[in-house]
Amino acid sequence: MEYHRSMFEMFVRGRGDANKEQLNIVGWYATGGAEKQASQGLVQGQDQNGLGTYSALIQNFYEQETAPYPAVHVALDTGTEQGVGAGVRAYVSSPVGVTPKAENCVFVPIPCELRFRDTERAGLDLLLSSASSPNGTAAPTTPLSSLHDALLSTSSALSRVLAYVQAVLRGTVQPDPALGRYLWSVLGTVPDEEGGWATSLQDTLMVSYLANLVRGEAEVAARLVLAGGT
Amino acid sequence: MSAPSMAATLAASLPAPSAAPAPAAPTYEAIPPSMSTAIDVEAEIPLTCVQLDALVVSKIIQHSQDAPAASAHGLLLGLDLEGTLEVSNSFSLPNHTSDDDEKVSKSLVRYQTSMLRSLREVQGDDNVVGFYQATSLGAFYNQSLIDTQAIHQERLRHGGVVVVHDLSQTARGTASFRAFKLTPSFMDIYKKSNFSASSLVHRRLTFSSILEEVPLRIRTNPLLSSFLSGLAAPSATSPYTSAHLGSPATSAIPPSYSVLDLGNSGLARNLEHVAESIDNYRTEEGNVAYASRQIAREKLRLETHLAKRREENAQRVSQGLNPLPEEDVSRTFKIPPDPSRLESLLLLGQLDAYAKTLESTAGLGLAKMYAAKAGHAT
Repeated sequence: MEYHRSMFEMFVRGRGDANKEQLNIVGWYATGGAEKQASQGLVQGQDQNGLGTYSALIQNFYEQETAPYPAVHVALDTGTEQGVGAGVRAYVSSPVGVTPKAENCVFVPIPCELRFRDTERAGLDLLLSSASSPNGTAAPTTPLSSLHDALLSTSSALSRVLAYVQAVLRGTVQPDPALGRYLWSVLGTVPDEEGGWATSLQDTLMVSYLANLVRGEAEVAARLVLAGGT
Repeated sequence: MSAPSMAATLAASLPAPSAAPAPAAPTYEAIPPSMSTAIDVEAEIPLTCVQLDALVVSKIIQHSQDAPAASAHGLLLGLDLEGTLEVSNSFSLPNHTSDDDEKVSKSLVRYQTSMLRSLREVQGDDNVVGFYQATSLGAFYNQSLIDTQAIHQERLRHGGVVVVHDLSQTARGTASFRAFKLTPSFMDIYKKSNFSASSLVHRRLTFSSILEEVPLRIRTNPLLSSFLSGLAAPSATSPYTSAHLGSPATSAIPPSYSVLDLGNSGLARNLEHVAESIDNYRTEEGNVAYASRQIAREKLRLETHLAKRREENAQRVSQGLNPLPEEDVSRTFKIPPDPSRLESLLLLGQLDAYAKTLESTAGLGLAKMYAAKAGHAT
């Protein structure tokens, strides 16, 4: 328990003192314990749904930590057992039983959803790419290659939509009015900026030229120092 | 007698070779601790690659976003194995803005030791192999980074690496992690703390040869890979016509197109930074020039004084008196040392980094604009 307190303090310190909102403990997580098949019955009460005999005790401990809010228990299934998919489940506890003993509580499942910030999305993409590569490693991509991938996927999405529209026109597929309206609204709003495009193109070219110039100058300045000038 | 049977009898007459005595099983003795640094096999293998675990990636990203204004930094823990530095965990270091250097460094050390101790209790890795730094718009050349890296490089077995995470590029859709080490030539100069122009010339050091990049890889362990593929796999629960559109497109992690954003806001800020760093560099150049002028002036004074002394001595000798000593001039005329060029070197590095980011952004913007035009023309 000493470990738990010291780690929490250090974690909060490490996050930065300028953080306005205080980080609080909201619950605890545990792994392991597959959901046993229904055919095996409930004889083995242990490790049912990722919960164990000690879950109630630990839950009680964390209830005191997170008071007055209920403690959340997140059970993570790694999916290593057969027949069980990997997944995350969340529970809150409520006391059950005649006497309010600490070890008696029933775990009530609550909906659990995975959320990530937009800015973290890129990191997630990186992890996904390394997850799908054969030996589990991947090098970080350059912006150009990620642009390339995004353009490719856009192009394939567009060809899918095109195939669908052509099929509808040919009469082979039943038209779906909601889908048709959605496509119309999305693809019909292309802004008309001929002149604007040319000027922004010129701006971008100028910025690129300027950046190259600055880099060349910096290099020259560095070499000048080497040549003995000031 | 046929030959085979003769051979058989001959073989039977030879004494049976005693079974070769089993070679004595090598006894393994633990290397006495005093010798362990001498017989350090791993240290011989140079570092060729850095491998980050997926956990480290997510932790660094999260910390960089929570910390205000690109000030996130922390330590990397892991193990170096056969030329690959495997980083398996990391933790963040608190960011102190107080002005008392002594207190700050002591509290940092205490934080670090208690963190390492706690990690050891739960059998996590506790071997420091480097540190990470978040930056924005690609510019990370500053004094503290160089200092920390130099300290690490001296103390750690393979020399620590710095992993730099670029916030702005991640926000724009490509996670960017790069690993660097200090070049040996820079380490030499740093140890001697002599950054005058002459020593730079001697080593041919420019800002681009301060840090050398080490190739970086991201690794996900198989459990994580299966979990992620499970999340990203499309699930056919969309009400919309997954059959019509050819392939379903709903998953817990839908594809993101943030990299196609045409926005130009980043360019303006980048330009500002470039202009600011140019100004800083010019100020620093002015300081260096001022210092060199001072030195030149002092040298000139010394020369004139010496010339006068010699003239006086010549006069005195011609008059038959003792010549005045000439050695004490060096004590009265102190020539200030050559100015340190480190700051201007770092500033040049910053400038170059900003310009490079600007250039790549502009180039990408060009490609995106042509793509948008192609989409618009049809």
